[in-house]
Amino acid sequence: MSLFGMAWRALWTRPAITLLTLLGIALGSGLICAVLALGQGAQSSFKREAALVHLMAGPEGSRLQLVLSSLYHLDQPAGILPLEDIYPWMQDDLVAQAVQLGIGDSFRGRRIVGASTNLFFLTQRDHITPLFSFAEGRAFSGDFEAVLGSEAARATGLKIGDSFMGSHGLSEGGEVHGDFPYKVVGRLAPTGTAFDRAVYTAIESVWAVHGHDTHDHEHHDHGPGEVCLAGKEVSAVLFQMNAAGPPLFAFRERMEKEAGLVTAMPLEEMHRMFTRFLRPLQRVLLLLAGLVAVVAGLNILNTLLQSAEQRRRDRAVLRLLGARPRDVVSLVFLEAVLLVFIGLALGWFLAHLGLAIAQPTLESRMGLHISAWAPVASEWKALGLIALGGAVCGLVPALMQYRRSPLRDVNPQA
Amino acid sequence: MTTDSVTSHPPLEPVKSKPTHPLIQSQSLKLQLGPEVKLLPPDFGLQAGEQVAITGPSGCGKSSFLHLLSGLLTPDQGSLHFQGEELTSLSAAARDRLRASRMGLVHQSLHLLGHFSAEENIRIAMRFGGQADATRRLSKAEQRDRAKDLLDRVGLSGMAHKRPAHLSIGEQQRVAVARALANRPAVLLADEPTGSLDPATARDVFDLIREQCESEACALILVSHDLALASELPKQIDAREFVQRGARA
Repeated sequence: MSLFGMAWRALWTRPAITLLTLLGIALGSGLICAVLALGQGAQSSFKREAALVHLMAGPEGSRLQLVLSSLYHLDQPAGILPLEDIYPWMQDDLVAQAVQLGIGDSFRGRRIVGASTNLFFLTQRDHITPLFSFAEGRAFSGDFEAVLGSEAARATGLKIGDSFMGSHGLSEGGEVHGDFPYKVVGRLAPTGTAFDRAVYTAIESVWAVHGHDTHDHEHHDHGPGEVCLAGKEVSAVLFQMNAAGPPLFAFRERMEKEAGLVTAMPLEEMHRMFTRFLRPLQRVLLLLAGLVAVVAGLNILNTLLQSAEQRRRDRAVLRLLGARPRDVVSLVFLEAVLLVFIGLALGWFLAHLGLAIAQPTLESRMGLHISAWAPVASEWKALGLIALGGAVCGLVPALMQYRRSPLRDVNPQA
Repeated sequence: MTTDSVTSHPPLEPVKSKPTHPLIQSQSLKLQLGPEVKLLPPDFGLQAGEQVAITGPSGCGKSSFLHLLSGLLTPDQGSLHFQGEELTSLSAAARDRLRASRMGLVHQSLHLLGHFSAEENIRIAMRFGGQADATRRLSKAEQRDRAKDLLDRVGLSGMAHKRPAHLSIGEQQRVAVARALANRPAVLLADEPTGSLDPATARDVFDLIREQCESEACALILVSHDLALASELPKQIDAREFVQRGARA
């Protein structure tokens, strides 16, 4: 029988204490894993979406609000912006796609986003692969046609051919726009971004619902091919650019200085948000989880010391049978290592199981697209540190065994 | 020895000294245990396969002598040879190896490992015996066969997978005997092996130890305060002299 097998057997001679100790380790390590995986998942999820759009422009308000409201569908838009103020900038040679967005209505808690048709021309970060593909149906082409993001389709239960009416505002219970029923004509394949959580329609439909395009075109002088901008308003415009770096920065600066527009680079804003708000919060959570891990470590020490005390006679017998002091030390240490590693594996599993269970809620309510089972580098570092701490805890009783006289333990009166 | 060591009861047989290397040979052993100095048998010799009983009341040094022989204690004075090798000059690790591979130990308080089966208790002894002396290393299959054979011989066929808690005291002592013989030791050191048994079981275990030592060609040093049983061995030493001698010293 190997030392490993003997340590394993020794571990389960007191199953209740072993299980409680494992639970303590699993709780501490699991909390740390969950906090790290959630933080990392949220960061990469936000950055993935942020990287799709180089620049955003919108009405006066905070840059972060602009990004959160129009890219992540998490905040209220700051207001509206006359299209004519931004339209010239959308025509710049640097701009690959400029998608107008009109946000203000919702259906069953999912936003109805009015968008220009070039929404479907947005590409992924490689600038080549289209961001969107249709799971079924087609893009909207006429008024009051709607396309469902994948998660919005699941949440609203709408199917191709269904009709629905939007309600005013971004939360449920707003005034229903009963005169303007939308018809579902398409459903998008999942993109793994916040785009999945909205219902899309032509921005002209949103203007029609809100009466923004009510001026008389007959009596308005448009040149051939000219777009009539009067009375049209947008919540934001998303820009995908042909160039990054200095030309983009210069373009942005000109927009702000010359047109007085509020602009935001989503990557920059999200980085700032993480640095200022989420990281400190994550640190506090990690500190709490770390304290739990320390308690778990002390629990390991306590368990092993108790075990060492209770099994002194067994270990002395092993010495009488010829086990070397280092064999006995190895046994005690292996017991600690087994406890720690099983506890850590259990903690990791429970943390990720929790994330997998919470994933749909995180996705629908917060727009976090987290790969629940994907390993996170910082997790391994934290688990490694806990394992090291556990091993040190295991060394204490192991070394205490080293110099014990087997004779005294096996025959206390000797 | 030697010994002509004289005991008042039962009558001792004369010691036959042999010219060849004795299995164990000690001279002028002196052991300080707390305030008490124990002068253990001044001259003691044991030949291969020989069986000797050490008798005497508690605290007179019987067990201390066995602990010296098994290398668990080291004498403060004197020499102790095992198969021609001076035990007192060996390191603790070397004494551990010697004990694991060439000595078998049986104690009154059983000392079985409670969370291992009877067979596993024996195989663990084989594991450490093989670790101590590569020539005694057995494969897993050989270990299983040997353990099964030993359990059969001590009358525990079919109980290989029972844990000590599921065996009677007598059965546990039989497992302890089988375990002590696992590595084919040169000597079995039995410290009050029948001390906690009822008379009938004590008789069974005593007979078993003698038979198995004979069949394994293993010498036996049996410490016992049961004079009746001890008298059945060919040679006896009265340990009361150990302390008396110490006191005089």
